[in-house]
Amino acid sequence: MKTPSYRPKIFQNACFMLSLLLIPGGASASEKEDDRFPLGCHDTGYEKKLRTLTLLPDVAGERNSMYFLYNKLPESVNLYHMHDDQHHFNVYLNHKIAAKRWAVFSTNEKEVKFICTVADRQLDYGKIIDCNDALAVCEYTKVKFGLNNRGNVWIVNGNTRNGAIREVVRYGIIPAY
Amino acid sequence: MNIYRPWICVIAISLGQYAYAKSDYDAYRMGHYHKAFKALDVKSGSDPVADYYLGRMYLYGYGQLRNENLAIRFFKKAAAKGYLPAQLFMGKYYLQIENNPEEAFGWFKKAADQNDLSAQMMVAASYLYGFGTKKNPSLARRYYIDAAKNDDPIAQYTLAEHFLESRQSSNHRLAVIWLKKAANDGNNFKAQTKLGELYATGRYVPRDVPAAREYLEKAVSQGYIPAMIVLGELALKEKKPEEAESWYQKAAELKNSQAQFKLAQLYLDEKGGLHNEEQGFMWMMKAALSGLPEAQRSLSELYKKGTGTEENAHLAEEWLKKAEQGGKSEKESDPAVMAARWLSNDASDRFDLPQWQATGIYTAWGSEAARRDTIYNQSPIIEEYGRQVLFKPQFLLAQPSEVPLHDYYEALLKNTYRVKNSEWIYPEYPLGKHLEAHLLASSYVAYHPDLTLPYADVYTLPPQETVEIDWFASWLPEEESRLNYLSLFNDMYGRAILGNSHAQFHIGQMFQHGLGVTQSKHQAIVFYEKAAMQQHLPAQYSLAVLYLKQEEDADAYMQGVKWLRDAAFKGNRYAQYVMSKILKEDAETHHAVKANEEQATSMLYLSAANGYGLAQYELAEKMAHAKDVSLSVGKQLERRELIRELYQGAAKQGVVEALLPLAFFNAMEKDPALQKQAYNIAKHQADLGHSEAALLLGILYDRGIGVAASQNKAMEWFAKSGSNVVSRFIIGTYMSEGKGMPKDLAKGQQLLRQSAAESFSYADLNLAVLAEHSQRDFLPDLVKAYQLGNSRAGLLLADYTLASHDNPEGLQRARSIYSGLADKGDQFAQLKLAYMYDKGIGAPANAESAHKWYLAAAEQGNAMAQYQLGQLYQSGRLSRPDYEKALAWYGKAAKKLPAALVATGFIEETVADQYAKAMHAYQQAAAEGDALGAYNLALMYEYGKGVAVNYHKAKEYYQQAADKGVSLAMTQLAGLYFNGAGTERNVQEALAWYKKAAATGEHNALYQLGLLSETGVATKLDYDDAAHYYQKAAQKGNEKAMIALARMHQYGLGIEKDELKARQWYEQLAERHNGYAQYQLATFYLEGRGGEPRLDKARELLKRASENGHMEASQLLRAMEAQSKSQISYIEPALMNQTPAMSGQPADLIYFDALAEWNRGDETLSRMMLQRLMTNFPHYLPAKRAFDQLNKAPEEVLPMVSWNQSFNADFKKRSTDKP
Repeated sequence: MKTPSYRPKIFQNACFMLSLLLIPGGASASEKEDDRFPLGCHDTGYEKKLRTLTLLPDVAGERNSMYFLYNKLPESVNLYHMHDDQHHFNVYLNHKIAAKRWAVFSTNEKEVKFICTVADRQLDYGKIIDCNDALAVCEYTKVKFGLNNRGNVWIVNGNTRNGAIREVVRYGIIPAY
Repeated sequence: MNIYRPWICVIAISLGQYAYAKSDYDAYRMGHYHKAFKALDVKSGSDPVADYYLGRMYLYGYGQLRNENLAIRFFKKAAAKGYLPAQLFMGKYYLQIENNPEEAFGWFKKAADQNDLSAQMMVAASYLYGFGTKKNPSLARRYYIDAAKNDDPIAQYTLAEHFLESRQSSNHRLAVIWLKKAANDGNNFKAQTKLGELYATGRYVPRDVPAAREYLEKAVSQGYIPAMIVLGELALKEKKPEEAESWYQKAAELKNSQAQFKLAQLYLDEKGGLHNEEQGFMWMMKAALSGLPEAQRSLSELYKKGTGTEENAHLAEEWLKKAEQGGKSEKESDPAVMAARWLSNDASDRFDLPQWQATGIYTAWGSEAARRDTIYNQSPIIEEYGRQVLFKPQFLLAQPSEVPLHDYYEALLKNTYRVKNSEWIYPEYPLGKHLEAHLLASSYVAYHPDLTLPYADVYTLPPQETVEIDWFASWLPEEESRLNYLSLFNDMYGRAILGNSHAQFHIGQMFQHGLGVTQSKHQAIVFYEKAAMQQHLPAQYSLAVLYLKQEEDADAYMQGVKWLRDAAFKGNRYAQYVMSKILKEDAETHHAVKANEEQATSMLYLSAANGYGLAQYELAEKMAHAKDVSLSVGKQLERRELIRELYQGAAKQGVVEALLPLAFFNAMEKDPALQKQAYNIAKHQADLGHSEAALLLGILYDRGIGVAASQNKAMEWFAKSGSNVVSRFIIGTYMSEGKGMPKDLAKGQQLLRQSAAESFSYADLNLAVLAEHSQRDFLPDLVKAYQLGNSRAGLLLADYTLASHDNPEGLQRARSIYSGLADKGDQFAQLKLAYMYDKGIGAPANAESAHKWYLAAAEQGNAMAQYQLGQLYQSGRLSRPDYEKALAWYGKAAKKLPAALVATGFIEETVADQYAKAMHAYQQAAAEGDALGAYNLALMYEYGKGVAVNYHKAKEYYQQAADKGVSLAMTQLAGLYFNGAGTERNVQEALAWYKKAAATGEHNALYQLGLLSETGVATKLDYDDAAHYYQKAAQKGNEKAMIALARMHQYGLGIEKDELKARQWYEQLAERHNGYAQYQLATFYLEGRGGEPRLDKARELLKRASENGHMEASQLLRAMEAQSKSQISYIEPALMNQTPAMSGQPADLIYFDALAEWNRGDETLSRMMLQRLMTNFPHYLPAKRAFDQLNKAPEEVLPMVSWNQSFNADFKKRSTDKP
């Protein structure tokens, strides 16, 4: 017999998943271990080519995906969102990830392209760098999104790995794997 | 392989515990036993691995005189220190050779405690049946549980049986689990039967007849009879007596008494439906005769009642008596048999599975002679490539067809930079499709749908069907299609003012170009701005361009840059492209933008990433030009692929200039479709008269890429390829060697010189090679080629430097060249650098670095590197030997290098005792003409290792190897000639081969020559020569030669008597554990020769000699002990002077044999032979002289210990010591 619960089920699951996710990191999530991918986050669904970063959620798993991006550099990296000529009225989801921090981006588009730059006094938009040198990217391919939180959005601006996972769960997304 | 894998693992694992980077063991592992002895002997006692190795050397007589007693002592030492292979050896030795199960059990137990599966099984069996120890089922269980965990099906079955007997139901579940595991092993029919029985009866598992049948039938298919009986019972239960009958019958006919009994019962059952008393009686009789007590009892009943036969009380009585007596047969009570049966799953009554066999020399060696003590056996050898082979400079012309295509391409590109930064225009957005259609419709030029544009990518795109598109249909209402520009403008204007950014953009375009309206830049800007505000990127870009074009107006220009930059960072490819131009220094106007080359390049990357053809083309050109020689091979491949993709993208978008480069890059690919494409483009462009295309076409014909190879066509096209750097090189090289065209060295060199002037490194290389061929100074050209980044030239230069300057600077120079090339991924440089690290050439040896570079080259498929890597693993220089890895790399190398097969065989033979595999490998190698393979194979035939002794074959293979200069093979061949084995006896031939081998310093040959000279067999008797040869052999550690020298000195045979020198030799020998020398030395101490008598020292030496298996020493020791303890009477063994028969042998050969025996350390036998020789041939002078000399020696103080009968028996059956 099921016991009635006043808490929404998704939240229960989220708590459960959270506890699962935190186990591998453990309490001693030291700084140097922070650059490993979180459990269940796969090295797939993106392409780093000709200095740009392209997220391709379709490649593995469902279209609606969540990406963890890690800034490997000791300085902030700016991400400039690029659009094709064909797309108008689009929002530009430019973003800045602090040094050695994880940011989380969720998308349901077929393709999302970014330019990476770092601050440069001479250049207004920053100096373009190879995204491959700056970012480590991984994708949660099977994410259960709540109905109200789909779409393109930066879920986590920049946090430690475990901090980012916490924020994601708080946001209401279950990173399934 | 099953048997063999654990062996390897065992050795690898256990070595890990002890041997830490012990380079001292190299020599042993690589088969240089002779050399290995000293280093190992030093470590003996402190390192069990050394003891184990020494044990093997003495056991096989490899590098040391064979001495089994000593070998066992070393093994025991190693085993006692916990060295697993030694423990297993001792266990097998006591089990199989000594027949001492108690000792065997002790060693197996030690091994089992180290988690060795075979030992665990043996210990379990011993405890189960009381074999070699007391019966102890609970201890047995401990071991078979361990074995079961190690996946042994027999142990699993036994464990399951134990659980089945238990009363606890939880144990029953465990039993089923283990049974299932055991039954999974296809051979365990017992488990299958048991499991089938459980399923059939539904005990402990849900009843499942099909599953039961499946298991039982599996067991039956392997001929397991009890399974048939169970099947019969199952059939009976299902009320199918006929089927039961047939199963029982099958089993009964195979003489199974249980089945016979069951069958009889079936026939005797009155209700069973198969009632047949006669048949029943007959089968019962059979069962009773096979000794089954139940059957005997039943038979007695039958006689009593007269069922199926006549009543017979007497017989009934007799059978009943038998049944009561009935018990187990003698065999079944023998614990050895029981244990063996359990271990073999009832397959055998003896321990004959390979894991309990004493392998190697004990079981697989067919030659009696090779199993005698105190002889040398020759060990197999492997190839070790020396510096001379690996680093030999090879002056060969670089063939034009071998030069990598990208090197050609880069050479061509170097001189023609096609993209000029000053020549560029703002890319423009096309007009809207409707506008374009309108323009076309009102144009005076007739529209030709079939007219291809000049750059149409006919090569890259599949032909597309041209469909006439009615642009208006989709866009405009039908009646409007005829309206003029104005109406179009009006319509769009309406939309634009409503805020449609698309329409705003098009209105902007119409104003900009004055289509349908008066041209107005101002208005265009207004509308573009409106659209741009709504994030319309094309509008934003067009706006930027409009501003930028007002170059004279600084403010406007600034405005333009701002818009442009913004568009670029929003992903507009045109904007990115223009940005890349503006950011370049020379495009700078009004100083609005600071020149920034790096950012400009990045912009070009972005534009290319977003798919702008021109940007892709320019980027490709840029990348192709920036030849980065520091990149590794892998990185270069990646970069090349990227460039190819960029060219392809550009070509697809109609950039004509990208076509030929694309063809070049496609030709470098392995994909035949791309190659074909390359050919098509080259052919098309070459036909149009493009000289570089003609060159490419020539190259394609030359190599057969995308088209069948044709030398003629290649030459034809080369001729049309104009005079560029590459064509000059190709024609110059072909002309110099006269390939495909008349030879003209002068002209060829001239062409090459021209090509070299344009810095094409291969031209310099070939000039250098040509210069070397004509003995002119070649270094300047070679150095230039190297400096230009030619790795082949670098290798040649380094090889030459090494070969000609063997000094530290030369080594360093060569090393730095290799190192530089290796970093870039050149496999040959990696191999050579690794070798230098490996052998410590020019710097201290470093196994880790060697491993890294060998691996890098090996992974590129370099067979030599694979071989060297195998040796690195085998030698254990990396910390411990890893034979599995070594074998894997040898396996890869073997495709190109037969030496790798030999090495494979070597490991199989000397590490794993797998003679069949070794033989197979050697055979393959020998068939490919490998001399060492032939030699090792010959050894197998001569000693009969895993094969019948076959001197014919041995001779044939020795000959093969000897002809190729293997000195050891020469010695062995000489031996066969000398003994007339496998060939006619021919002492002269033998002498000739001995001399040949001795010339290379082979110590066995030297010793034999010494013996021949001393006895005057085959050559003139010459003591000086003899002493000289012995001396040389002794210096190389030949113990027989040492004994010979000691003897000559001791008795003054042919040389001056010098006891001190004799004593020195004995001392040296004694240190090498030579029993005879220890005995001799002991007599020196006893008699006080050369000093005071020292009894203690003598006793100690005698003890050691006797431990080393010297018979006289042990007898003397016993005599001494008896004398010191006078209360114990000692009976001196009677002298049984039975001289061996030596009829038919010529005197000189008997003399030869006698001295050979002495040198082996069997002085007694030797003296006996000499005695007999003197009796039979009293006038044979050489022997007489020696005999007199030998017997002149002072009488021994102690009574000479006599020989007993065993000597004589030994002598009769012995063959001569094989020289």
